Amino acid sequence: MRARLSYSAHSRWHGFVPPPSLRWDHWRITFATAMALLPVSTVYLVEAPIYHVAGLLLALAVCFAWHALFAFSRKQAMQWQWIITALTFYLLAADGLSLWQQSIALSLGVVFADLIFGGLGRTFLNPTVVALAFAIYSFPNTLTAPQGVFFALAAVAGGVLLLYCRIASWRVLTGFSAGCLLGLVAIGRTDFILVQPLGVVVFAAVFLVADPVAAASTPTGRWAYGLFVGIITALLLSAGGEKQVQAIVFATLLGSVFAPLIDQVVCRLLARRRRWRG
Amino acid sequence: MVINVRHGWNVSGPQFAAAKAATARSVRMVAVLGADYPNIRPRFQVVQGDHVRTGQILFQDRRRPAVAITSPATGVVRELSIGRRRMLDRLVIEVAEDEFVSFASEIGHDEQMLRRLLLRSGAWASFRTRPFSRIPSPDDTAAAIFVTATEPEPFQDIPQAFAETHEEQLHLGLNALMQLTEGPVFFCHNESFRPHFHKERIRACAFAGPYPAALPGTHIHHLMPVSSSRTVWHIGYQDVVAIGSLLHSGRMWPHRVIGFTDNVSGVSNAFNVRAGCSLHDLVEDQNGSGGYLASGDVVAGRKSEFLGRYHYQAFRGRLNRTDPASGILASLFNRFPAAPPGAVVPLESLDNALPADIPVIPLIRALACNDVETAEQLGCLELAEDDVALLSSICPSRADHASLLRLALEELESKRR
Repeated sequence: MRARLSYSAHSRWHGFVPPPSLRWDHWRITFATAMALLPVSTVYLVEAPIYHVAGLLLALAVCFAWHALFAFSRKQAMQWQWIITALTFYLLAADGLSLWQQSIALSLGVVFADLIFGGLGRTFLNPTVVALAFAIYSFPNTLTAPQGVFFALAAVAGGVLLLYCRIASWRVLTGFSAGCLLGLVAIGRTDFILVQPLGVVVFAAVFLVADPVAAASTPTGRWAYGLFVGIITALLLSAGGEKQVQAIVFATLLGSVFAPLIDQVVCRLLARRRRWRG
Repeated sequence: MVINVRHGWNVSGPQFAAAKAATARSVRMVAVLGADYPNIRPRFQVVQGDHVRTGQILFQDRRRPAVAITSPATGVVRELSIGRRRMLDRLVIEVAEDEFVSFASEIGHDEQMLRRLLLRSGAWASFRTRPFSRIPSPDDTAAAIFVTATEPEPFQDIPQAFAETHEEQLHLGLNALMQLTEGPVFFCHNESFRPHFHKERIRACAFAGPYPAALPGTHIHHLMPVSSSRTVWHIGYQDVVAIGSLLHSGRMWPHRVIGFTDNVSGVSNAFNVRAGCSLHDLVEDQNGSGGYLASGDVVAGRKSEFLGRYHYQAFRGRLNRTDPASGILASLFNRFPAAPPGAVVPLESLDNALPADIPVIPLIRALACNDVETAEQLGCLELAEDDVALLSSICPSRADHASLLRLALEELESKRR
């Protein structure tokens, strides 16, 4: 009887037992992501001039308006994903874009990368990435990245929360870091790792690259996707110099476009292995 | 051999002390439920008001008349209701003093006689095939037979206690299983339970890990994965004892030791009851309001007032269901209303719900659009309803993946015929 009793206590710690999973739904995902964005937004707003708050309010208003319009016209429940889109876009684009430029870019991203597909979970691109790509093409040489150690640390804190919730994939983030290092080492620009202020790269990695909708959706695919985006980011960083936002936005865009293909390849390989096994 | 299962997680609930002995409960009503036999089109041998004996045939499968379902009790048939598509809904028997149908004259030594005995006594229905999770046809053969002697938490210790008290019948039953297959008989058990079998073809295999480690689908996946060309059978450990007992005494053995979790009052108990018993008889506070009765384990169980044919667990759940996970985040989320169902978001936490080489998100997508070809390539033949229950419990889409899987399996099965 002793042995049996000790088993119950023992089994809990035997081997790797992952933490229990939550019953996820769209509101909870949005809420957790917003919580993760809270520290980084606070750090940014504390350092930014006071008129920047107007930009944040405008970004929120634009995203809300489009979501409300689509929800109303489709007679669907309101989604709250627009808060995340507005915040991430604002943090990366507030410096350098005027308010009307922000509104146009954000409208395009929200409508064409999110709403016309049907919202969260039905898209394959992150709306912030599309909005930023549009802004970069239309209004060149205006985006400057937020800097600073605190910004990077706050982004890391958000990343830890998302990893704990298993919304962001540790495979994507590890693959991305490895890809970045690999790319920089391969082209002999290891000086970037120390010299460049990496706040924006960390932020974009956590909230844009590791966005579950935009990333690949198989475990192996997530590794491949992370590596791919990391390597492209490293190449574009070394080619573009100061233009960090540009580099990571285009790397993510390219990665998201290739993500379904990566998943398809992984599924084919798994199916082939299954056939061989008989 | 010990296999550590790495996917899945446990669902918290009231603890059960392993030292607790099972209390015997007499039941007034038992039922045979149509939900347990979804592919059996019944030809009834009894009508409402008939008096039946334990082991008497209640109905046969129209397509395979040799497959019979027998009565788990003696008494009067109080209710016989027909459900959709002229399938059985439920057949309720009011329990009286046991009178057994004797099968002693049919006990033989060769395989054909064994098969005939199992079919006549209704014990054949305790086997299920994988793929498809169906009762096998009378002349089917299996590449292997899996005995599931594991229970999800908190009842993980019941199989060992049960096997120790019914050792002789268990060995008789396992010997019978060896006659039914050319391949191995896997006895899948809990890690602390170290059974010894002195037969080469009976292989004991321990499974350690969270909830899915107790499911037959997990055992089969790790030991002998099935495909369109390989079929295995699985059977519960108490049904093996029932077969052993049948061979020993020539009578049907209608008992069950079940774990019952009462989530309303927060206690877990083991009961010694009759197969198919009414779950109302197990609830302590009859007048306690709130909650529903369900048969099966806490994750994969279905709402039912009676114990299912294949279930060794039952529970009473709370109506206002909150997050089963514990922790700061879960308690925070439980304060807010839940969102309406939405599209699947490919979160990494979903990956963990199925074995590693079955990609979850592509499988969900294939099942959702009934792309059976892709689903088969991704490995849906290895799965049954209880394997995807864990996935349904956390998926943002709130889709019933078990039903979608069953649709795909039905289509694959019909193509195969």
